[in-house]
Amino acid sequence: MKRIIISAASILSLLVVSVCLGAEFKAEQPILISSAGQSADVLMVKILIQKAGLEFTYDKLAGVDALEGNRSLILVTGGSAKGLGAANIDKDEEIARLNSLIGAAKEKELILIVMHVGGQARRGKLSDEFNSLTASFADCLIIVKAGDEDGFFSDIAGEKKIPIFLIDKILDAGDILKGIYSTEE
Amino acid sequence: MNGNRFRRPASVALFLICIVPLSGFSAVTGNSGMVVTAHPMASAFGLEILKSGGNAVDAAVGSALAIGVFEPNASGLGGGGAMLVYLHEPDSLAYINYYARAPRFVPTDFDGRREYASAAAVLVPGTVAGLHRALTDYGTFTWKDMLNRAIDCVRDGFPLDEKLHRIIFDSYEKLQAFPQTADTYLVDGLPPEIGHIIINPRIVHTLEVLAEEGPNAFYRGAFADSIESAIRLYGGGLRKEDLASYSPRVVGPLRGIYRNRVIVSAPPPQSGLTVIETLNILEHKNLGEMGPYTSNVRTFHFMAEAMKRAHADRHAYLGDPEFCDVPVEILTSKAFAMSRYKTIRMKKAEPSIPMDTAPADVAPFMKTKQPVDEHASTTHISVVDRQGNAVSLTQTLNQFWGSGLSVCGFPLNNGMTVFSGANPVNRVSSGRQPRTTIAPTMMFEEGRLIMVVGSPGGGRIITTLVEIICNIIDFGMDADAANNTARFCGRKWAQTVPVESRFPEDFLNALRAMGHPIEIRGELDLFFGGAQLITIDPETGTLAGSSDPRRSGTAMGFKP
Repeated sequence: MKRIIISAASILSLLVVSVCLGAEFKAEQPILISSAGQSADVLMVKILIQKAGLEFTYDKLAGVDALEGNRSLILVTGGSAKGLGAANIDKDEEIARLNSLIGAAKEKELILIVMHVGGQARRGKLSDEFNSLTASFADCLIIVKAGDEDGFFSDIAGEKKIPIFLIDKILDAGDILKGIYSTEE
Repeated sequence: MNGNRFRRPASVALFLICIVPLSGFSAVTGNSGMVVTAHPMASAFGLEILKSGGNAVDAAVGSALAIGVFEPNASGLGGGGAMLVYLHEPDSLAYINYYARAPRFVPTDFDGRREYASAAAVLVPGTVAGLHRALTDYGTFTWKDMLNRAIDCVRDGFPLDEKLHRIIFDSYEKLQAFPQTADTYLVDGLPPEIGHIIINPRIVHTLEVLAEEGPNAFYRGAFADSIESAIRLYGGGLRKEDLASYSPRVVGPLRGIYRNRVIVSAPPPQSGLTVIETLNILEHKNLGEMGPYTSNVRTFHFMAEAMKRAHADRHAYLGDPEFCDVPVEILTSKAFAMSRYKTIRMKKAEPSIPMDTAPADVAPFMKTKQPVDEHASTTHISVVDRQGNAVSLTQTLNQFWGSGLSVCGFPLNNGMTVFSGANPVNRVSSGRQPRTTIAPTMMFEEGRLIMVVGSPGGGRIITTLVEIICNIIDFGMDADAANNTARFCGRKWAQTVPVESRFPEDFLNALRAMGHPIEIRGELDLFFGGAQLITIDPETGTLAGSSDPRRSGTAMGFKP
């Protein structure tokens, strides 16, 4: 019984830490939005950011040059074989693009926000290659809970002390983004 | 008749959705009638039609209209399909082919991989004409009465379930590309949440006009104008004249024999002949003694090899019989199947890559020129009524959401993607139907109907049907077990042999050792279709229905 109470308390405190860390997290505009894995999820995030009235440019195949003039980078992660095919690239080319994009973003001291909004459908062998690559370098994670049932993203966040927002549905990401990019204290 | 009474079944179905997890496992028995569709509200609507005195054709047409609204990704007024009708009295069968067909002006450089979500992909829809023809020739309800009932059923919308939610997510790019489609199926530009009620007033209005003015409103009236305008706006070639000249084809179905049962299935350009050819090859071994393909490696191997060969022959010879000669009698003959059987080695997959499977030469079997036998993405509906009449109906938009372009509340198909430019038997030309894998099927034993089955699933339809038939006839399973059992697919145009993940790893390793390039997919994977199945006990007449757990459907039956 004692062990259960201690475990529950640990989980609760971890959650509180995550939420607190997330709540304090701030980033600056303008934003470059790109995909990590070429799923259509990036289009949904683009709509959310449009609705939030944030300043952004969108390029799902953004290269290093596209970072110029931006203060943060949002990568929407999750693999799609169809999307990769439509973009006429394979998985390895996409990973190479992401490695150089993330490397350059870090060099330029841009904030990297990684979003995973596709739930279980954007997990699995292909998706998780993009998910783990991007999440490990993130300054902040915004994750729809259905994609974190096994703690995949929470574990990375805990291990690397990355602020994480776990949300119930994609629509909730709009308010999170507004908060992150708000200039109010 | 007053259609208002049909508000009740819709409410009942809504209630069922709320209390029953949409697992799809829905084995149901009955004696007086049964409807199995991919959506509980469409099944409920069909069942109420049966209960109110309608026959199997009435129920199938009603369910087909309803499911086009409740499962808008898979079929609807903008698509096409086919219906196998069995009338117990006078013991007759008919096949209504209302598949979409090419317009007069067809693009010569259509690229299905780039243009699948475009107006250029749209073929002339056949659903309205086909359902009207079925109702007029074989139903008991008037068109107007049926449409009014359907309007009452769909007017208040339906709650978004988990599977459609996932499909909307996956198809987001296509849906958001066309304003009317986005307006209908997205909320503030984003996928709606599970449980959101999708209401489509445009489709209600369309059905109201069709109820009053009949199918001519679709093919010659205001809707024809709307369709042409939308197609023109987005650069497609379909015109009002194409709609005006559309009519369904009513032909005899194909017949084959499998272990003393009569298989009745879809004639060309649909794929009953490949179901029959595969079964003819399989008949050369006693599968029942060998054991189910889920536990016996030799059975799996033999079935996969038979499937590969039948699919290669399909690819070589199946096309629209109005435009090419299809050697139907040869491909469905026992002698031809024997020649294919002899090429199968029981210890090794040959060829190991399914795509490399070569077709057989039919010339040695051709004593004289064979006449075409005139007697011979998708959802499926199976119905049996209390008189013993039955319908097996498969309808489609080709890929989920078709072209993505919606007009008057319904998405238009993208049937152009089904033509194959390189293959003369399936090359696009004006007025032609593409060949398709759909194969609404029935089975009879000693003259009595024992099975009604069909499935969506693109290139997996044929193998899914063969597996279900073998599960029942060879392995003695009941309807639900036959439907739920793990699936696989051996076919041409694949580098791999896809299997559901429920096959044990050592079993798959044994298959790999025989040369099968196994690809593991989901546990109950939508990729393998969504079969809707009814079996009939020939002794007692008891109906057993099973709706595929890979989709969101339900079997519903009733007893007197």
